[in-house]
Amino acid sequence: MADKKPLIISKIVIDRDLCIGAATCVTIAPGTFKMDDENKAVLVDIRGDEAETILLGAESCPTKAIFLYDENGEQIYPYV
Amino acid sequence: MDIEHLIIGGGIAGATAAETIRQHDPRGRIRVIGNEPHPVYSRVLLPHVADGRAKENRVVIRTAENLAAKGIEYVTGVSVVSVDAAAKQVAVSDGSSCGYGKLLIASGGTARRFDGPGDEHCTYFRTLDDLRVLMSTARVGTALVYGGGFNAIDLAVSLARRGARVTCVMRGDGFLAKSLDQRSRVAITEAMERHGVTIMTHRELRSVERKIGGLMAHFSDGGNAASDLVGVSLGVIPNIGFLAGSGIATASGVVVDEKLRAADGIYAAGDVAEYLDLRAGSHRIAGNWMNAMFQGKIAGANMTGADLVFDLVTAYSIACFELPITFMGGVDVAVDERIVRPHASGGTLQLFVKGDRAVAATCIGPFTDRGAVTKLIADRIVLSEAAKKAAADPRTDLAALLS
Repeated sequence: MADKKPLIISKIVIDRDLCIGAATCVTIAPGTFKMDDENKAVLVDIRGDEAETILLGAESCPTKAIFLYDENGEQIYPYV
Repeated sequence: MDIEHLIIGGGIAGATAAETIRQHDPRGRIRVIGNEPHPVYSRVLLPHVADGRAKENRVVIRTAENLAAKGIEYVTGVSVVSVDAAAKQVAVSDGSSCGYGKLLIASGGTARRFDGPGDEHCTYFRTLDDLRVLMSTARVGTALVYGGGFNAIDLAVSLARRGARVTCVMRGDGFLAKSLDQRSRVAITEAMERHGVTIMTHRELRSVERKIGGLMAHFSDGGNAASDLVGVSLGVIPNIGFLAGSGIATASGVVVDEKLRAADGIYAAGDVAEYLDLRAGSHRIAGNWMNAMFQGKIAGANMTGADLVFDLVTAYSIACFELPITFMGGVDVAVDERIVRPHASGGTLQLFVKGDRAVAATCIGPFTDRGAVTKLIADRIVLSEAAKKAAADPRTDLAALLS
């Protein structure tokens, strides 16, 4: 396995059109995401959870609606 | 031991379990056997592709390479044909066999077929291959969708968004009729009708016939309807056939306890797992994404020595055009009463109450109280008679019932 470098998430984008309100992200990373009145996920605090937890929250999204970027603007997630 | 952790099923439950096992066990060999010849993909995204909002390649969540980078062997296009639990070995459809240390059954489910005359002319909407068949249908001017569940709604909405004139036919008294009150069913019907979808209830499909220029569906009441496509959505049957004679207990699915154990060293997760839901007090299958993913996590952890109980209140949401539909917890569980809380804009929030606790909820329309409802169910908050009465009043802040 590759050497682990520290995960730094500098930007989170949620595609409202893709979000179906499954709320898995909120279940995993409740400090970072919440559901709004239209049942769409929105960002609460980019530092609301550990970076690994936020990544897990993004990975859990069934519609891949959560995009994570590092400090150089490179997309961390989705991987594909 | 050759394969330490063998996982039957390449969906989200199996893939999540494999990744979780790897977090706890850096070295043991992990193999995932998936019968669909595809990477791990999201069924939840299929409607987005069907209606043109997303490209097909977006459905992929993990490739074999992604998993290989974590030291997970991902074998697809073959299926496990039998399990010998005593010998700790499975037989695979390519004629090979595979021994294991611990086994996870995450084999999912298959769309229930209509099975009447002309079933071969019907379109299903469960797998990536189903999606490809649907997308290859040259022209869908008119479509008939038979069924009353989430998948039928998704299919009808996708076809309508593609410009088809859609008629929905179902046996019951509206969409999701077993779980929803009348006001909620009306809200869904109205959302459909606003977008030109026609709804026909209390009608049973008898046969489908290919005619020149399209299909003809025949109903039990003697009526019939012509359309370019007949979509069928009658639920999902857990994939347990290969477990016959294995010694692993099955009912509707693989029977597991609250720790997702079927037997010593054998676990199940996802759409195939008939797990002991402690909140409901009975075994049930919860066929949704969130359930599959978190059961994969719990099963994976328990396979590597943890002793975790699966106790999450899982929910699933779709949109019927602009109308949000959310089911939370075991709406299929027998309850004592349903508290119906009408939304001013149409639809309701229902709380399913067993004794003095809420065990499940449905929300048709904006789910502004989602946080409070999740907590009511998850934390097993006791509801007094006065609290139940207050909950039915939409002016009551449900968060006030939490204290």
